[in-house]
Amino acid sequence: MAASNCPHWREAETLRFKPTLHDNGNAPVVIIGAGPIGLTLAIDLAQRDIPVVVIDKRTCLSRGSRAICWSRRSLDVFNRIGIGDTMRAVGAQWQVGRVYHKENEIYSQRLTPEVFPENPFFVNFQQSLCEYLLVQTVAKYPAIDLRWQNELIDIHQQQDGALLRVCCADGEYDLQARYVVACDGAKSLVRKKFGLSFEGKKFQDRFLIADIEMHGDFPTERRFWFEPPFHAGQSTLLHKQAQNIWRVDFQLDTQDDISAEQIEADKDEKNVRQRISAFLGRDDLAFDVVWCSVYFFTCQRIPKFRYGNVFFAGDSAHVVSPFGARGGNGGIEDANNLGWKLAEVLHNRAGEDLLDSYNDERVPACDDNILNSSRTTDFMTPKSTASKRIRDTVLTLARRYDFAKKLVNAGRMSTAFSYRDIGMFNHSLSGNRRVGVGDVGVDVPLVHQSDARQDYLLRHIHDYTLLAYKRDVVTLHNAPPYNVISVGDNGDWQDTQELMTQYYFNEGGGYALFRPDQYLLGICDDNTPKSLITLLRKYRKEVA
Amino acid sequence: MSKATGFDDADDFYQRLVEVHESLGDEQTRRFDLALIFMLANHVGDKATLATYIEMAQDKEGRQE
Repeated sequence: MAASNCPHWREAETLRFKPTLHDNGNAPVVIIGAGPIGLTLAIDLAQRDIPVVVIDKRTCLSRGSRAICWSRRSLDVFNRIGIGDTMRAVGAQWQVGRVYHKENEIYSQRLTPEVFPENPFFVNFQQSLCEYLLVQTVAKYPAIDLRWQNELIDIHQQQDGALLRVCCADGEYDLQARYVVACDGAKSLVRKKFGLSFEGKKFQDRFLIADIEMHGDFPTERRFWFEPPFHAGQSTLLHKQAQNIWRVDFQLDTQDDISAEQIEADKDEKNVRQRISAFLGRDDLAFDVVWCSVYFFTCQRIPKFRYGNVFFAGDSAHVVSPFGARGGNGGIEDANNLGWKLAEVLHNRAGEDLLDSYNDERVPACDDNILNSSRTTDFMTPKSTASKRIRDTVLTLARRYDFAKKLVNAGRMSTAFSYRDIGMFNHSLSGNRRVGVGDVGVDVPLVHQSDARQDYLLRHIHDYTLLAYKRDVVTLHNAPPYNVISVGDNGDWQDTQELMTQYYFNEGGGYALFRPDQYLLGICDDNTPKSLITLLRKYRKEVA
Repeated sequence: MSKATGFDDADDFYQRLVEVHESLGDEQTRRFDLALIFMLANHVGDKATLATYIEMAQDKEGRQE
């Protein structure tokens, strides 16, 4: 069923949206950019009853696959906004990464953890299709006013908001916002208007990325080659996507000043086909090149992600090299971190300072992505004879000795960042099991006590949520509103796989409090949730 | 021993090693490598273990490539 919600990518890419005309007005939140990050945030806000205006200068979806690897964390978020089922049904689910050096396989790793969460490690699903599903979902929410072909031309910070100047087909107009979120990508105009520049590294290494359509019988795995016999010995990556599309990523040479003519030659279809034929090494396999692009490794961010009433999320705030899938997934987590906080403040349930925690939590998360991406870049493209010697020694050792496989870096794949001891998580209600305060909740399959239906823990967490394990649900006087899920013999749900004691609690049981973005805010083994509710009261001022 | 996965953070070690090498000339690099070997060997200590590592680190098939 879920698969039928998804069109063929060609159909999605030829869609043209009707331009929205001149429309003065104001909104609690204005989002610039209707890419995956902007639309995910818009839906999250609408689900929390916050009206939102989204403007985008385009009239169509992204062309080409662009972001393709969606992490378990992003899929958890996509579940919450209702598109996870379709992505799993249509996308290519994968759990294995395989690394080759010259002719030999040196390394394969099954990346699934020991638990059985609803989502696989990754689903590959091209960005254009992801945007399509998000646009379809947006249409279900009257609270979202999505304005195509509305281009931001200016923005001014104000005491209690921001004023935007927008250009559309029939002229210019002003738009007043309480908060603005810039999701307008790596070339963000908002960033330029604020005079913010990216800080970090830009590398000289050039890569050719191509989407090809073919009926290949290759396994659904991430496969990476160092010094392969094809493609003149330069690194190559192969990924499967939805609908018989494959992603190939070729390292090209490294030059100081690369000319525009050289980049055009790199993208020339004849040259691209030649590289792909050499890589496939099979005459019987027909393929079409449907999209290609040349890019340079970059690992950069702006100094802060909040400037007054304006927030930056996704590529407008940070860009990383693609190996590791930390760009799109980092952006989805930005949206997931920010949406509920804006809603709390706009509903007068929390003070303005809650919004600072977006910056305090997402900047270290971004730095972790940049650190991992930079290390991968340094391993894949050594910058000197000495570092190439180190890299090649590791690859040779890895063929013979397992310990060296840990040193081989073909991409450290995106996983949920832990906010231990930072932002809202700097307190002592931290428990003693594997999931600590500041960690994302580990998904646990659950079976309903009365009708035996199956579900998952994370599907229940979209507001502050108290998990009572082998404990009664008690009502406390003067407590803010929160959601409750009870697990155990006397609760609504059974943990049939006994994962609660592996990840969260001692045998005796206890209580855990999750934030609306599914991160663990506090955990205790007391007989009442009093300490957790006291913690909640610090952040949510309203009384039920 | 060869199977041991003793690194807490292999990527951190790799990064530090590369950074030192990139900051040194070729001759200094060799000296640095040897200095590091002597320190790590002293840390290991055991004579038989060190003899085994010296044997293992020689890429005998690799030499013929």
